[in-house]
Amino acid sequence: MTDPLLSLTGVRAGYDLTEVLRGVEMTVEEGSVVSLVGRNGVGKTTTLRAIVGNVTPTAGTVTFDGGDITQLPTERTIQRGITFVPEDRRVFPGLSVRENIEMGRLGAGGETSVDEVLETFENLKEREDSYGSVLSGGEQQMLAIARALVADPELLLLDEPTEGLAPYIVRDIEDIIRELNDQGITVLLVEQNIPVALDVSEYTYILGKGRIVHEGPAAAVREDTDVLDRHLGVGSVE
Amino acid sequence: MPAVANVVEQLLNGVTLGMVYVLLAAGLSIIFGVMDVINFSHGELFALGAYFALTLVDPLGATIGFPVALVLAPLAVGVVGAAIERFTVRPLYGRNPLYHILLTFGLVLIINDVIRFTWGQQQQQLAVPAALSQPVGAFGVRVALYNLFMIAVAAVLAAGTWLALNRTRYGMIVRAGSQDREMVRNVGIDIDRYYTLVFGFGAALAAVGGIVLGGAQNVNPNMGGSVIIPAFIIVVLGGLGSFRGAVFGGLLVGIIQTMTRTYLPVFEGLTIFLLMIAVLLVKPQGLFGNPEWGGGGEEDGELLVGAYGGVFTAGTRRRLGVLAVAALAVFPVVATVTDNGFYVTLANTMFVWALFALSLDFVMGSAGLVSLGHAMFFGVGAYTGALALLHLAPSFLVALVAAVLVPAGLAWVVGSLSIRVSGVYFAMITLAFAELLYSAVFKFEFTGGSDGLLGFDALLGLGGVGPRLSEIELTVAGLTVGSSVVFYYVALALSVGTLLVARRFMTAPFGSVLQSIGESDERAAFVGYDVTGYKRRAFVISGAIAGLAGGLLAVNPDTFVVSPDQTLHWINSGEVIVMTLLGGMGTLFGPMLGAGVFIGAEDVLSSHTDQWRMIIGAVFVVFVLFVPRGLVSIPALVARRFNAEGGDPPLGVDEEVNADD
Repeated sequence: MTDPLLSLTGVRAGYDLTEVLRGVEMTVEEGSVVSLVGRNGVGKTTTLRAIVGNVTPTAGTVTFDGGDITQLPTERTIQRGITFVPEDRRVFPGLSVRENIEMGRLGAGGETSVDEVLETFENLKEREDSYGSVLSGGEQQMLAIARALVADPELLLLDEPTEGLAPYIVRDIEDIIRELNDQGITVLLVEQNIPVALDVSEYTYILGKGRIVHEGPAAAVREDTDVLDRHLGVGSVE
Repeated sequence: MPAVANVVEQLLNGVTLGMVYVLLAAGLSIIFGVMDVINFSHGELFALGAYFALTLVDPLGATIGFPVALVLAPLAVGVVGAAIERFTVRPLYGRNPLYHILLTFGLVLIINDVIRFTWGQQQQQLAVPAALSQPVGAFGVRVALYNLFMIAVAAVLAAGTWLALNRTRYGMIVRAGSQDREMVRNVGIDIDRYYTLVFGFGAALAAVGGIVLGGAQNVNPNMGGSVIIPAFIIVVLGGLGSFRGAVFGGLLVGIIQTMTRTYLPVFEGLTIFLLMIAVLLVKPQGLFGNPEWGGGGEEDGELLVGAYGGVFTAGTRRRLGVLAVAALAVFPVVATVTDNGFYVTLANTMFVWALFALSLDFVMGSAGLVSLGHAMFFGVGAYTGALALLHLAPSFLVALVAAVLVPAGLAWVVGSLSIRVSGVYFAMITLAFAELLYSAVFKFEFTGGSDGLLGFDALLGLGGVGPRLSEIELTVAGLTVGSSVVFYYVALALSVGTLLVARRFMTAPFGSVLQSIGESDERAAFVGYDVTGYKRRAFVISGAIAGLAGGLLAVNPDTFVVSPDQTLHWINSGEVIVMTLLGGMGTLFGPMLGAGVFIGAEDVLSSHTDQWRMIIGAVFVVFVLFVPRGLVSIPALVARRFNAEGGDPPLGVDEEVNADD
């Protein structure tokens, strides 16, 4: 068995005086889609931020592709092949759609050109000269993903990509995640929408108060009403 | 039609001045947009450009030297700017933007003294090529060719900057950085490298402005200080971080300044401040500013209050306080016996500034209201005190009461108008009000113009009864006690009394609410407090205390004149912020201590060297960088050093941050 693409061991991190992560242990195998779910405020977003170095872990290690990236500055982590689509999309509001994607390429870009990415997102191509701030929520999410993809990532971190989007766009996002995975991109998905998370991922971790409280194949978690009830407060997943 | 020609000429002059402002404001605005740094030293970099040019033109001659200087001097200033960013500004990212204001204020003192030391105090002439000095004319309009040259140089540079920002990769990254810095890192770009570049570039643009203006007028050590305030106004008017705003604002201010000087000289120096206040009240983000692009992502650090806990117990602190007051009470006796009466006079100045610093801390250390114009209350207090002595009654009591009431009223008005905006905008709008008053006192007969007020004298009594304070001479137990000593005790009593009252406010629920407002306006409002009301009340009290300080200045028997520069100039607002931080913000007594140390250091240093500002500036920069919690945190820092887990940097004194025992 090969080493996992990403692994977190005993990761602790937080803000000022509050420790949010209290020893997170998880691994992401190459080529898989892994989801990380949990109630509000347990540290899902902080886990992603700790991986890319938006917050620096105070203890533990993060390894990626065989190297220790725990203390690496964010930009170096990204350049190694992890791209991050943060909560709220964070598109550059005053840059055009094309420029937003260009930013992704300038930072960690490889072979893929801006035009190639635009080809795969038709609705973005139509609006390539519009400012990021005038796009709808769904378009912004597409743009944020496009900006991440232009960097040819090995691992894509997605933080709540379906938040606040209409159901038919949520399905689009699910399709995109599957498609990307088919192209060989490993995905770590943080999601509030548990049905979506369990649907699209193969393996899932449940985070509770800064620690992993349960893990298992997504299909098994889906059937385990006891786990769902205890850790996520939902009785069953439809 | 000579009238029309005249207007066109003045308009051209306005555009010329405006283009210099554009060069200055563009860099200032981009620097703020990208890194949230309000660079007070931008004006000194502007001056430095002119001085570097002077050094190049002197040996080479105007014809060759001037074009060479126009290229090389800005490059040199750009390097200086980049070095400033790399070594002083960079450690402060992530802290509250106030620390940048403080740091760059320290840099102003340093660079300005370097200039005076290197090139002298006198104004000098920067020679321009003879070909440019010719006047040109058309349709009855005559204008110096050099003016057209200035407009052309600035226009080319402004257009180039616009192109660089909008048509290059560097520009795109810089723009992205001004919208969301953390996200730029998240796409894998090291934004820090661009900071150095942007700072250097902004400095170079300012240097070009300094050179072209220096060629038109002259080169002098005050040129930086005289352009920095208009430059701020332009940046705020146009919208912090907006290049378009800087261009538009620069031209607007240049034209308005020139036009008022020519056609409405009464309003010279007033119009642009009124304009800025009006714009900020209607559209706080400026004409072209975008309220949504906060440079966001990375949270601003909070203001670091002075921390003095963890070393001495509450009882020890109280005993130390009593001991300090007791020592101050016997000090004049010792000074008189040992024939050191001069130190009593010096201590009197310290009391005045200690009260002034206390007044600022009352709003800055608790509610986080950073007033960059606090000198207005101090100055109005001093003027009111002097006017009361001259026209109302020559009693120190009347003077002090008036000096408290009038600034308190002024603080109510200014507070009501400016508290609606917060953070950097509040700082700027208070600065604008202060500058408005500073310009205004020059205009009026009753304020004595630029000379200020003279010939007032306080009686130590009421209703015309009582001895003149300045003529008091008592003989107690064989010692002759002069007026300074009498004033000393008045000032000591008022200082201690005001400190105790201010502490009472802060330990009362009123103070707790203010502190919660300082931590978060929004949360305080959500739990039902009238945030604006609380801030305004605190601001009025603060204005009253600053007024008292000003009144004391007027009553002080060693004060012979109350002048605009000594009271209302923005430097005084800057210095009082320095004192507050030096002592330890939010502790009330810390800033008073800071004022004493500052005045003492100024006195000692200035008697030994002309470059005392440079030393104070350097000490201050060190404080901002390494001891941001002020003098009062030093015992805790020392204790930490000697404890086992010493390695912690001075930032983290967190055990006890509350302001009282």
